[in-house]
Amino acid sequence: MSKVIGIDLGTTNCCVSVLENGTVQIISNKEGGRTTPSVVAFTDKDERLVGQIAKRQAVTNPANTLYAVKRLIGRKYSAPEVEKMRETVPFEIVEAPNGDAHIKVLDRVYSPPEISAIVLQRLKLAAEEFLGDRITEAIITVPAYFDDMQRQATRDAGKIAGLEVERIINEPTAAALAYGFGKNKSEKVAVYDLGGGTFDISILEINDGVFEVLSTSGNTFLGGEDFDQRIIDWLVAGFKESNSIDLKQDRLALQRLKEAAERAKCELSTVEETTISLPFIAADPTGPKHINANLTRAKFEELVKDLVEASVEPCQKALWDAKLQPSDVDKVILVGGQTRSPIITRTVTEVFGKEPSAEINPDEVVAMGAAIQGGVLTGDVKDIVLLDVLPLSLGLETRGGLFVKLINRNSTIPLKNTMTFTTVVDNQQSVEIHILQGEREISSANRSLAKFELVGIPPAPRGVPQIDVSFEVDSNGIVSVAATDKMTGLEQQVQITPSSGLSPDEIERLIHEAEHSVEKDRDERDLIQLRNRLDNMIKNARKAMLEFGRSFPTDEQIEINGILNNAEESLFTDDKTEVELILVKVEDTASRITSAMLTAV
Amino acid sequence: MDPEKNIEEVVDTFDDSSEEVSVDDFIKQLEEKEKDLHITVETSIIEISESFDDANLPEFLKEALDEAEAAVNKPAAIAMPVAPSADKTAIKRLEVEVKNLQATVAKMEADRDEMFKNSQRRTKDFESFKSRAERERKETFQNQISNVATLMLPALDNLHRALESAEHIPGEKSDAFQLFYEGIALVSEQINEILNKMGIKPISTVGEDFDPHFHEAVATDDSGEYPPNTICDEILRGYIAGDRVIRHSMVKVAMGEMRRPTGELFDETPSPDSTPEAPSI
Repeated sequence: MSKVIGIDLGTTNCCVSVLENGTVQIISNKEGGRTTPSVVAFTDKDERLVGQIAKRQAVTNPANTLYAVKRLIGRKYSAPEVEKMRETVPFEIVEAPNGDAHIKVLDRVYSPPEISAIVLQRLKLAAEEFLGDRITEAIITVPAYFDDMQRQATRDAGKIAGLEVERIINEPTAAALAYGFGKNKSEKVAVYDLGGGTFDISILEINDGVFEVLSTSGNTFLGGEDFDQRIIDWLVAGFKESNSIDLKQDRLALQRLKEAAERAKCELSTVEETTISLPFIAADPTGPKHINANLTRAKFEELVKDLVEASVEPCQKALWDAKLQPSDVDKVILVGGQTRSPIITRTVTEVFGKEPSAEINPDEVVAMGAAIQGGVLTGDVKDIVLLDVLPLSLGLETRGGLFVKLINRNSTIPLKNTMTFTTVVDNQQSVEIHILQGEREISSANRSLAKFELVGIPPAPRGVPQIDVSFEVDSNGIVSVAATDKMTGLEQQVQITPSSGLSPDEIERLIHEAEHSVEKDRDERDLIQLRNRLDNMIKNARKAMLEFGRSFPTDEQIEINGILNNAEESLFTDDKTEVELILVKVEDTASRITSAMLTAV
Repeated sequence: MDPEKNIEEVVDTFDDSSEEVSVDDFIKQLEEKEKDLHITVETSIIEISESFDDANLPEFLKEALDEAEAAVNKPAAIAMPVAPSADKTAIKRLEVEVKNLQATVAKMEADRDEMFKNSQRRTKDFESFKSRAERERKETFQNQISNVATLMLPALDNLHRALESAEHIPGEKSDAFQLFYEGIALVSEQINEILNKMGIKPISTVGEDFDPHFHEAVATDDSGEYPPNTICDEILRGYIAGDRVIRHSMVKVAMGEMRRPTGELFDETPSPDSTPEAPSI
C-alpha cells in the first residue's frame, strides 16, 4: 500500500507531511519552504504559478492572483463572508448558475475546488518527489465549523488533483492527534489556533478514539498579520513625528517596514528587546533618513493588547457552549505561528487556568496530525483509532419552520435512525421532506441539503397518517433519506448529493484537465533539468579543453569546439528531444576529453 | 414550506401499562411451547461440529473410524461391539486439540504476513531516506555558502544604499569626502568580488523581462516609457548561487499603457485607509 499524505490546507499557507518509519516528515516544496502560500496565479503565457512564485508577481497581475480561496469554498455567492471578500480582493468573484461563489480569471470561470486542487496538485508532486513513489491518497484537514458542502467541496478539490481523500478531519482533531491524544483515558482538550489570518478555538472531548467537537468559536479576520501591522503603524507614526515624512506613501519603504516588523515580532518571542534598523529608508532635501528603533517586548505587548483580548471572548463562548468551566479542560494546545508570542501563552494560561502545550512546531502540527491519521489507515500506526463522526446534526423542517434533529452531531458513522411524522391539515395528501444540517432551532437558520415530496397519502384527518422518515449515513458520510407512508407502504427516498457544488461529470472533466497540466508541468521541469545538466557539462568541457585541448589534433579540436558551440545554442530550445540528443553528444565529447586528460597525466 | 404539505412529529399517548405481560403469563407461554417440542428433563442436546475437516484426520482416528465403520457394515448375525465411552472422550479431546492447533497456525501465518509487510515498508522507507540523504549531502556545501551569503546581504544592501545616497548629496563635495566615498566604493567592490568567487552572482534586472522565478515585483510603472513586463528599476539586488536563487531581486515592472493593476500591494489584510481602485480596461 502506498503512503497516505496528510495535508493542512490553510487559508494563508498550506503544509504537507507523511509518516515515514514511525516519524512524521514535513515535506518541503521546490523552493525549500516547509509551508507553501495558498496562492495561485494565472499568467497570460498560460502558466499556472503556485506558492511564493505566485506571490512574487501579484503586484503586476492582481486580478489573476488568487488567495484566501478557502473563504469561498462550498459557499454561496450571497453568503456574508463572500460579500466581505468581494469588497476587498482584487480578483473577480462571480455567481455560478447554481448560486455558488466562483472566480473569473482571464477568460474562464473557476470554482474554488478547482483552485484549491491546483495547490493540492503541487503538494502531491512535492510529496512524490520526496518519497520517490506515486501518491494517490490523502487526508485533508478542515476547520471544525465547516459544513457538509464545504467538506464535500474540499473532497472534490482532492479528487480533481488526483487524490483519493480517505478522510476529511477537523483541524483541532489533527492537532490533538499530533500531541498523542486519543490513546488513553477520556480527556477534554482545548485547541487555540491563531494563524496568519484567522483565529479558531475548539473544545474537544476524546473518548476511545472518538474525537467529539463540543464547541467551536473564533474570529475569521484576526491573525498574525494584524500583529505585524501594529508594529508598522508604530514605526510610521514615530518616523512622521521626527521627520514629517509619511512612509506609507512609499511602496518600497512599506515593503521594508513589513519585513522588519515581522522579523522583530518573531525575535521578541525569545528576547526582551530588539533593534529595528532600516538605514536610508527615505530622503528629503536635508539628506537621507534612517530608522533605528528599539522595540521592547513590553511595548509590543502594549501595541497588540486589544488584539489578544479579542481572542478571549471566543474562548469563553466556546467554554459556555460546551457547558464547561475552565477547570474542566484537561489540556490546552497551541496551533499557528502567532501562538509563539509569550503574551498569547500568558493569556491562554489565564483563561484556562493551565499552561498550554506548544512543544510541536505550531505551523506544522495540523499537517503532522493528518499524517498520523494517514498512518493509521495504512497500518503504520496501531494504537490509535479515530472514529469518524458527523460534524453537524441532521434533521427535518417541521410545522412552523422548526427544525427537528434526527441525528445529533458527533454521532459515529455508519448509523441509521427513524422517526415517525404525521400530517398537519385534514385530508393532506402529500408531505414535503426538507432535509437540513445544523444546530439551530429554526430551519431557515440551518443549511438546506435536499427536498422531496411523498405523495399519494390517503385522505384522513390531520394527525392520523403515520409517515416514517429514516436517515441513514454510510461509512463515507453519504446521507440517504427515505419517507414511507405506513398505511399504503408508499416510499420515496433520496441520496444526498449537495444541492450546490460540482457535478460528477464536471469533476471528471476537471480531473482530466488537471492531469494534462501535471504532465505539462513535468515535461517543463524535465526540460529545465536537462538544460541545467547540459549547461554544466558544456562549461566543464570548455574548461577541460582550455587545459588539455592541445593534446588533440587541430581538426579534432575544431570538431569538439563545434559540438560545444552547437550545444550552447540548443540551451534555448524548447524541444526536449533535441536537448536529450545534444546531451548525449556532449557526454561523448566529454569522455574523449577525459581520456585525453588521463593520457596527458 | 407549503402549509398544506407540512409534517409534524407523532406524540405517543398510549398507556403501556395495560399491555405489560406479567412474568407468570410469560412462564406459562414457555411451558406450552416446551410441551410442543417434547422437551423433558432427560432431553440432552448434541452439538455437531461443522468445522471438523474430514480430509485432515489424524491416523489413529482414521483407524478407529474405519474399525467402527467395519463393525457397522458387518452382517446382523455378528454382535457389534459398542465403543467404550473412554474412547469417545479421547476423540473429543483430540478434536479440540486439532482445532486449537489449526487456530494457532492461522494466527502465526497472519503474524508472519504482517511482519513481512512491515519489513517491506521499512525497506522502502529506508531506500527513500538513503537517496534523499545522498542528495542533501551533495547540496550541503552549496547550501552553507548560500546561508552565509544570505546573512551578509542586508549589510551589503545598506552599504549600497549609503553609496547611492552619497551621490545625491547636494552641493560641492570636499576632497576629503570624495576620497572617503571612493574608499567605501572600493570596499563595496571587494565584497562583490568575494561573493563572485563563492559562486554568488547578482541577478540581472533593469531592461530584462520580469520573471517571478528570479524577481519579485514590488511596484509598477505605467508611464508607458518602457515595454510592458520589462523591469525598469531595481529596488533590492537579488543573488543567485548556481541555479539556486538565494534572494529574489525586488524590482519595479513596467506595465506599459495596456493595464493598470488595482491600487494596493498584495496584502490579505488591507489597511483600513486604502480602498482598491477598480481596474481600468
